[in-house]
Amino acid sequence: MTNLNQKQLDTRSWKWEWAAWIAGIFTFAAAVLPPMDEFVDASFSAHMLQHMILTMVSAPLLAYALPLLYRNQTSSWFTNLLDQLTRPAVALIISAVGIWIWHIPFLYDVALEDEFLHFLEHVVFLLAFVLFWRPLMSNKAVGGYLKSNEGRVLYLTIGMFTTGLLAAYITLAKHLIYTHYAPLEAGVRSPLADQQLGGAYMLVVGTVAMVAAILLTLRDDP
Amino acid sequence: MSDHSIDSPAYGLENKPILRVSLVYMLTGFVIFLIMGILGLMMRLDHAGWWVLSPDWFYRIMTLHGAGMVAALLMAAMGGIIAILNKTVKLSARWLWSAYVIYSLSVPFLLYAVLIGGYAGGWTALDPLPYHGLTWGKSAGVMMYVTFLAVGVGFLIYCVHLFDVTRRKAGGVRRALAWEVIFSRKSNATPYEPEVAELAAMATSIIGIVTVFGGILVLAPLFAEAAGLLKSVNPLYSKNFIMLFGHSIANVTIYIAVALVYGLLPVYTKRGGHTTKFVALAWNFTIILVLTPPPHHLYQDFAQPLGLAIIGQVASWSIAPSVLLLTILGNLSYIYRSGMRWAVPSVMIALGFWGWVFGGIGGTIDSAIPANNLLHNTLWVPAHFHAYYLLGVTTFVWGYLFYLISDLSGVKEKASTKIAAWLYGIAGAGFLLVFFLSGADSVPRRYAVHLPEWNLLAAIAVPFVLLTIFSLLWIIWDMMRGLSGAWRNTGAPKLE
Repeated sequence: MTNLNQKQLDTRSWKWEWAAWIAGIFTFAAAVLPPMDEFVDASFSAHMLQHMILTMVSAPLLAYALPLLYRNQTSSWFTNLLDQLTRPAVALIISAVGIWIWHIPFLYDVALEDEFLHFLEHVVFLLAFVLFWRPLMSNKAVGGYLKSNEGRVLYLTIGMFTTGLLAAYITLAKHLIYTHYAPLEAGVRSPLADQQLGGAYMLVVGTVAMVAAILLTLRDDP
Repeated sequence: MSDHSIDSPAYGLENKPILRVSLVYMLTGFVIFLIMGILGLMMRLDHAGWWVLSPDWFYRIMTLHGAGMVAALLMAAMGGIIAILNKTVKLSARWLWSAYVIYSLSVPFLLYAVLIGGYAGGWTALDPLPYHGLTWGKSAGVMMYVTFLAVGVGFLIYCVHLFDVTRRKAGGVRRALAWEVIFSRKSNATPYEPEVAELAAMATSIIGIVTVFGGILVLAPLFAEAAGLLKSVNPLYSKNFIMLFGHSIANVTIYIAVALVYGLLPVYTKRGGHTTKFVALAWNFTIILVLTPPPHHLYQDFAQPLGLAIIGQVASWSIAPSVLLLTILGNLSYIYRSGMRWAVPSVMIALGFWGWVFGGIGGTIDSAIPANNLLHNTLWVPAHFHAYYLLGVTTFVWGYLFYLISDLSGVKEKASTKIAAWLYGIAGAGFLLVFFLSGADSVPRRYAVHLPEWNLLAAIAVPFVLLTIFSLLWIIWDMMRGLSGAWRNTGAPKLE
C-alpha cells in the first residue's frame, strides 16, 4: 500500500524530480553513446567507469525522479509493484544479483560480443540500482523508506560490501578474468593491469558514492 | 523502560539516538572481537602442533587478528564513553554515525587485503613491505593501508567531535582539562570541575588527534610510494611514525576503557566519580605519557637516535606511577570496604585492574633497555599487551556493555553469571601466564613454525582459551536476554 495521499501529490512542486530526471537521462546517454561506447570496446577499465556512471550517477538521479511515474495516482498496480520492489531487502537482493550475474566471466564476455545483450546488461544495471537507491529517498516514498540512521547505515554497508567484494576480487586477481580483452594490443597497460585498474575504479567509485550517500542522509533527530 | 534509580543514567528522548549509536559501536566491536578471538585460538592451535597452518595462512591470520582486535576494542571503548558522556554533554548522532561509517570501512578493506589479496605482512611497513611481499601484490598492500586510513580518519572525526563538545561544555580547553582544579588555591572561587568522563574524553581526544596526524605522516608517503611518486619510504622514519600511530591507538584504547570504570564503579560502590586534583593531574599526564613511549619499539634498531630511545625509556616508566597510584590503587580504595555489589560488571572491573597491573609489570620490564635486549622478539611482548587487552580493556569494556544493556532493558542479570565472569578471569590468567613463561623461555614472536620443544606451552594455553570462549558464551547468553529490550528502548519514536 502506498503511503501517499492526494494532497501530497497535488501540492508539492515537482521541479527537483524533473531536474533529476533530465540529469539522469543525460548521464545515461553520455555513458552508453559514443565516444564513451568506443572506449569501452578497447579497455576493461573504461568499461567499468561506464558501469559506475550508470549505477552511481544515473541510477540515483533516476531514483529520485521515480515518483514522476506515479504522480497522478495514489494507488495502482504500479505503485503496489514499486512498494514491493523498493523494500530495502528486496532492492538489495535485486541489485546484488543483477551486478554479480552480469560479471560472471562467460556472460560478461558474451555481452561484449552481442549488442543486444550489452544493452540489456546496462538496462539491468540501471533498473537494479534505481531500486537500490530508492529506499534512501524520502520524496513521495512508496514501500520501504529507511527512516533511521542505523537502517541507512546497515543498508548501504551491505550494498557497499556486495559490490565491493566483486570489485576487490577483480582488483586483486592475478589472472585475466575477462578474456574478451586479452587479444587487444597492450598499449599503455597490459590487459591484466587494465583489469586491475577497472576493479580499482569500481571499488573506489562505489565506496565513495555509498559513503557520501550515508553521510548525506545521517540525521541528528530521533 | 527500566526503573531508573539515582545511580542510573537519565535517558530522555533526546538521548536515545546517542544511546542507540553507543550500542552499535559496542556491539560491532564485540562481534569483531569474538571472530578475532577464534583466529587467536587458531594461532595457538598451530603453535601447539595440533592444527598446523601453512606459514602463509598463519601470517594472514596474525595480520587479521592483530589489526582486527585493536580496531574492534577501540571502537567498543569509543561507544562506551559516549554513553557515559551522554548524561552530561550534548553529543551529535550525526557526527558519531559519520565516524562509525568511516571507521567501519576498515573492515571490508582489511578482509579484501588479507583474504583475497593474500596480504600477510602484519601492520609493519618497513621497506620492502608493505607492497613487495612474496605472496601478495601492491594492491593488497594498498588496501591494507586504506584500512589504517579508515580507522585513523574515523577516529579523528570522533575525537574532534568529543574535543569540541567537551570544550564547549567546560567553556575552554583548560577548564575541560580541569586545570582550575589542579591549580586551585583555597582562596579561589570554586574551581570548575568537569566530570571524570568529560576530562577523560578531552584527554583521549587530544591523544587521538595527535596520533592520527602521526599516522597521516607515514601513510601519505606510503601511498605516494604506491603511486610511484616515491621509490621507498625511509625505514627508520616509517617505523617511528607507524609505532607512534599504532602503539598510541592501542595504548589510548586502555585509557578510554578506564574512563568507563570511572563511570561504572560509583554505581556498584556508591563512592568515587569525583574529579579530584590527583585524578585531574593523572589524566593530564596521560596526554604526554601515552604519546612519548613509542620509541621503546625501536631499542633494537641501531640507527635510532639515542635520545629517542631514552625518551621512550623514561616515558614508559613514568606512566607507571600515575596508573598504579591513581587509577589502580585509587579505584581499589573505592572498592575497599564499600560493600561493593558483586555483579558481572563489577567482577570484570576488579579483574581488569589485575590485568592492567600484570600487563604493566610485563611492559615496564620489557621497556627497560637491558631487559629488552633479551625479550624484544619473544612472546613476552605479546604477553604484556594481551594482558592489557584480555584482562584489562576487554573486561572494562564488556563489563560496561553488560551493564548498559541491563540498564537500558531493565532485565537484571542472573546471579549465576558472575561465575562466568570469574571463569573468564581464571581463563585469561592461565592463558597470559603461558605467554609470559614462553617469553621468558625465549620462544620467538611472529613465528609461524614452532620447534617441537615450544609446543607444550602453547598446548597448555589452548584449554584456557577454550575456557575463555565458554565463559564468554555464558555471559553473552545472559546479555542477549536484555538486548532486544535495550534496542527497542533506544529506538526512534514512530512518527505520526
